[in-house]
Amino acid sequence: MRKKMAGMLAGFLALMLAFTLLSRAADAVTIARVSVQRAQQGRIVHRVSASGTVTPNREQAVSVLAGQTVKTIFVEEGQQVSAGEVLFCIDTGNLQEQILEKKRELQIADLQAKDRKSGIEAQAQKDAINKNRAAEDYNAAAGRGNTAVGRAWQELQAARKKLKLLESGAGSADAGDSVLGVLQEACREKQLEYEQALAHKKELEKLIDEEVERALGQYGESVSGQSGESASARADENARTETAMLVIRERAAHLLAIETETASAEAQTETTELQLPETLAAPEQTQQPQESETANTATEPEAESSEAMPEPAQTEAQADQELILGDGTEAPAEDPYLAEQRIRLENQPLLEEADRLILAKKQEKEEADAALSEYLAASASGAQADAQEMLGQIEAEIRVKEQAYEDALTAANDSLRAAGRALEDAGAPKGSDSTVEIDELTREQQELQLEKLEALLGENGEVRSPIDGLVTKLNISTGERTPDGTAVLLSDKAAGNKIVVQVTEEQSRYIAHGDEAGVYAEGKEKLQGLAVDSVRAGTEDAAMLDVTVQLPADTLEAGMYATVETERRSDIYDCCVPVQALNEESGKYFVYILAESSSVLGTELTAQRKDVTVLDKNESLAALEGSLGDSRVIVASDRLISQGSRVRLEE
Amino acid sequence: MKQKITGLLLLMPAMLCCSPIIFLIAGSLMDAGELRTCLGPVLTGGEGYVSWHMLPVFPTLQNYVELSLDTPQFFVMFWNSVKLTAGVLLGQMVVGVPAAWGLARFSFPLKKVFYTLYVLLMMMPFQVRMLSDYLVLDGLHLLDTHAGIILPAAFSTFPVFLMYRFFTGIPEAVLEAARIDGAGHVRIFFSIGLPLGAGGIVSALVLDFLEYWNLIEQPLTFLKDKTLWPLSLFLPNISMQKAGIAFVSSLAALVPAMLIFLGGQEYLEQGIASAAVKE
Repeated sequence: MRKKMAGMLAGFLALMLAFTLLSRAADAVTIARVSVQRAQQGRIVHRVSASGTVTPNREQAVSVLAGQTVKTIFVEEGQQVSAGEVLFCIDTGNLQEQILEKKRELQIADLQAKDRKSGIEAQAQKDAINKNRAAEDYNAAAGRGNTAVGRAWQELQAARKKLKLLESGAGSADAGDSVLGVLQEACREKQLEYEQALAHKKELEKLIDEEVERALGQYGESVSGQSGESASARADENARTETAMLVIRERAAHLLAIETETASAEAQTETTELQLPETLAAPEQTQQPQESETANTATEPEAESSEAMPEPAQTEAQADQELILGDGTEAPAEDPYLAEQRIRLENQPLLEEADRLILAKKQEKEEADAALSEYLAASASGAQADAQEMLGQIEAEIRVKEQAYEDALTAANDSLRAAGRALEDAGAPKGSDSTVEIDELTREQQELQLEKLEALLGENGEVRSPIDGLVTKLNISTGERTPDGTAVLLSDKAAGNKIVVQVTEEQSRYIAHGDEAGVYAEGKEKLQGLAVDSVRAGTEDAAMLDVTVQLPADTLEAGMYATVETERRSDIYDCCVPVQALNEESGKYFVYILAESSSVLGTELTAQRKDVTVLDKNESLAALEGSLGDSRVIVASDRLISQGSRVRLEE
Repeated sequence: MKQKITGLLLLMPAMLCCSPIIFLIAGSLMDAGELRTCLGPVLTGGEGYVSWHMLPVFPTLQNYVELSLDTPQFFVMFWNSVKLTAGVLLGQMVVGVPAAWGLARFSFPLKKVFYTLYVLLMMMPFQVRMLSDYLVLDGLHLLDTHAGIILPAAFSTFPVFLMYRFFTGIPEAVLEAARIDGAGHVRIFFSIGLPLGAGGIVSALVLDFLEYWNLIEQPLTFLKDKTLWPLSLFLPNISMQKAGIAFVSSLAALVPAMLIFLGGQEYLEQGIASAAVKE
């Protein structure tokens, strides 16, 4: 029993020994191995390194007109060229064809420009004619309106006069004779006016025929080449025609004036009896101001109707007539049939006006004759109606006349308004037309191209380098067409080269204009002592900044890939630790420092967290505020450590 | 039948006495969650009362693995305890056995005074001697060393007192016969005294092992360096997170004591009986 217990005790101790070794081995595996370093004084050196391409400071583009066939190319990219050296050659055969083509195009353009100019002039004449016709229509409408209103007014006055005579002679014995006299006098006046209107129309037709004959005569002269007629003779003919037309207008105006004068004189005596509706005048105010005077004649026949209306109408008509006749004197002779049609069409309103006048006079005359016949018939039959009954009939007739007068007034205003609008439309401004100027510019451009082509042909199609430089880009190929733009891009040797690199915004804090910089490229000696020329916002990437360094002459060639390095040293900091020692949590920095603690296993090393403030740092060092004393800072660990973690120093 | 009834009646208090060991074994097999549920009110200051399961709800050997592989501190303290106990027992063998033999078999002046002084010192508890021990050890520069624990224990009076009883029980005639045969004092001590007094020596060593294996006050007072601490100071440093390890470590500490006890049980009973006999 004792031996058994002793054996078991020995076995237990052996087991414990084995587990002792195992536990220590396991502990050695799990404990973090760390490297430490003490904080020390130092400078934070910020090195900025970035790579980029060497580019020329100034480039010059060599270009020719697009579409030329490249015959031979004498240079290649990266080749040095001197001023005057032939870069490439253009096929002259094709060049000559293009020159001929350009010349043809110029001729065609000239002809087209001439046609367009002629078309524009013709259009201007048509516009003027349309405007004149609109003015004539307006005047005609005014005349028709005045005529109709005057006639209605005259009839109204005649009825009133008849009523007045009946009322005054109702009680007298010779009342029937007085009425008969009045009616006979009225018949004679109407007959006279009717004859005057017929005579006026005949004279008007005669003048128009004369004008047509004159136009036909001019055409015949121009056709036979016998246009040697003197200008004075032609002027006399024109003056004669104008005089004739003036006579026509004066007579027309005179007839209308007589009619209106009669109405006006009667109206002056009767103004107290009938107030013209003022509302008829209101529409006239909306018409053109220059036409208001004429328009007033339609609404206020009692106010200088004999002068106000004819004079503006005469003035406008005269101007129109002059324009119409001017075509015949200044414009080249036109087709006789067309000329006759044009003259007759232009004077058609005057004839229509004369017809309307004749018709009106004829109607008035028939009405007067009817009244006289009716009166004579009544007297002869002895069955003269009662005076009161006669009086009632005449009053009813007056009301009808008044209504007719108002209708005529309204119709006149409407037609006048429509004609005024047509006149406005004809006079509306037209949009600008720059066709001629554009043709001129196009022609200048074509001439310039032609000059360039001829100049190129003069050089036998050879394109030469304008400067000493380096060919940086070739946009042409042998046998292909030249592009629309740069054919060959040259870097100006005299302007030197530069290197532009892109740095981040963070890096840009440590680089500024004037900082010393070094540039090196593979296979080239490093260039020291250069200066940063500029630091600007990036052109390719807005988040980056472009750093430019000017390169000395004859060092690096354009297109080479090189690296720029700059360095900026800070002041001396008292407490610098390797940046690997820095840990960050929630935006705060801290380091782990090594601490010793006593435990069962002996003196153990543990990691103790210490919060720090970082003053500056670069890729390798961090400057801390304050001091860490003689503490050993953990800079590396093979395991993740935390506050109080047991650690072991790396051998 | 009567014996069976008596045996059953005695089994119940025996089980009651063994319940701490049963609890210890059950706790060593519980996982951390179950231990927190049972011991939380005590170890973490939570509300309620401690509860205990005779059998673990989710038995696991995780605590054994953790103690064996992840707790090197335990083994440091275990071997410290082995070292201290072995040193003390060895010292007592070297010093105490000859002293007891001398007191038992030799007559010299003031013998009774020395014996009385031994008994008197044996009766004094550690708390009384603590200050003087500390001053002496400090003067000898033995503080914070294992020697500061081993040396005072090696000269302990209790084993001398225990072995004295066994040595005095050896008949004088046996010793006289040896002398006649020409044996000297050393020969008589090693050939006659030690074999005949082996029961006393073993019982003294067993009792001392149990005492020094569980030594707490002396290491706590004289050892500042934690690397020198014995296993008896491991448990007080166990937190709630390592409660499972505490149970396993207690069992591990129990094993050597139990083996020593079982191996020397016979001599221990003799020694206790011997110490109880009045002179």
